[in-house]
Amino acid sequence: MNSHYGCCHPIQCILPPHVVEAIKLRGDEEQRKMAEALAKQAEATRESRQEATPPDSFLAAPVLAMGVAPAVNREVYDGKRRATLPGTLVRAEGEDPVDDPVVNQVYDLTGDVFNLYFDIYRRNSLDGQGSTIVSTVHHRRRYNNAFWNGTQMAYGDGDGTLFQTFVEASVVGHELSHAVVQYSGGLVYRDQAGALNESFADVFGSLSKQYTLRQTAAEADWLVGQGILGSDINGVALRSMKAPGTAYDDSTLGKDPQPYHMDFYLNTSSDNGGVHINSGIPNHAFYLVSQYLGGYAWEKAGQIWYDTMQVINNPLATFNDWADKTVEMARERFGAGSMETVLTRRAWKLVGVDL
Amino acid sequence: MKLFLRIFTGQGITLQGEINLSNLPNDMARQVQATLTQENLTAAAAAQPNPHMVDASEYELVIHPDDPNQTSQRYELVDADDNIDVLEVLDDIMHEIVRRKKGQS
Repeated sequence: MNSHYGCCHPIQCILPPHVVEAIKLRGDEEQRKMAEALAKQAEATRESRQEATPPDSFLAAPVLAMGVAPAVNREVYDGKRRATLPGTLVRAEGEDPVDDPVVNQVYDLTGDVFNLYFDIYRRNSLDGQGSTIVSTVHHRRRYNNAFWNGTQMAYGDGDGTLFQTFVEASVVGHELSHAVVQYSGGLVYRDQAGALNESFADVFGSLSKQYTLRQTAAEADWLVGQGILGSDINGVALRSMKAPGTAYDDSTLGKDPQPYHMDFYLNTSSDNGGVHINSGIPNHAFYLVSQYLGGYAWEKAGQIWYDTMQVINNPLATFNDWADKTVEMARERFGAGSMETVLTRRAWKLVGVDL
Repeated sequence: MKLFLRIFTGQGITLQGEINLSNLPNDMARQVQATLTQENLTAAAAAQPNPHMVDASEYELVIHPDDPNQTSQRYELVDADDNIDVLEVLDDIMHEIVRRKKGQS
């Protein structure tokens, strides 16, 4: 155990909550137990808030490229509108389509996400080790959400009024990309690190859709969750990377709150510190880089962002940390004076992240 | 009894509204009364979230009693494995709130 927190009894030293979250996220079982004990103690006292950085023992190995042919392995389960996961297996890898179109859609879209990561970034499934991708459809009754729970995906059907479905290309790509973040060392799901986690999921959710449709950056819609809102909702998607803050404006849902610039960064305690809100800023930076570079966004901009995720090794990364690393990755891959490097830096500047 | 409910859907969208228990359909009102007891809500609010679960839903419920001498009770809940019964009732309440807002029969 690293001496940073081995210096004292777990319940006698209180780390900042975000560091405890990092330990819970990246630690082994013993460390997680310790973190939970710390969290309980913090709840009781809420006094000391000393600054700390994650110990070296949290270092995560980068995902290695695979030299073998891909072998996607998907399992889709029917939750039958109950909460128990995973439910009943209804379609395994290589099996014929079933009568339920939602099952087949998830099966196909999951394959599309696998293909993007393998074909372009040489990543073998979510964990880089060829893991089975498990999905449950029809999760809970009228459930207005989809999520990655650390081991599998779950998709609600929506209530039919606000949401028609959660089985859509960019949403599936988004949720599966949360798994990629987890297996790449993780980003604590709070404040700027959490917004980067959300943004990475949006970026690769959108890229998954673009790759499947073979769309250039200019042709893509840059929407996350296009078409999943109910027919009476005034909106086109959950989020817009091209124009954050414009995806919906509805009497029931309210107005899309995403900012596109640091001047409008929202300091809030809700939504884990605004992870779904402030992600608009790095989302827009990625969109700008993609537009500047042209062509297929997964080739250069996507590669820079993916490389960054693999090497940043900082679960508490800020927007500046991430931006710095993207420029470094662009420089390493394309050269110090390359357009890729120059334009990556410029995109960050335009969203108010000065390097 | 009035219920104020806010649900953060986990996809970046927040839903909120309020409704009187007496305005709920009878079956739902009975289920609400049976499920949303102080004991159940306290236990549900104590449920620990899975640290690896992202895009989880978050719930805030405020119960305003009819009796002005009684204080309102506020609960915050998150998606967890052991509070689903309560969360599903809250989902049903929100569905009813939305349905009424949208003027659906």
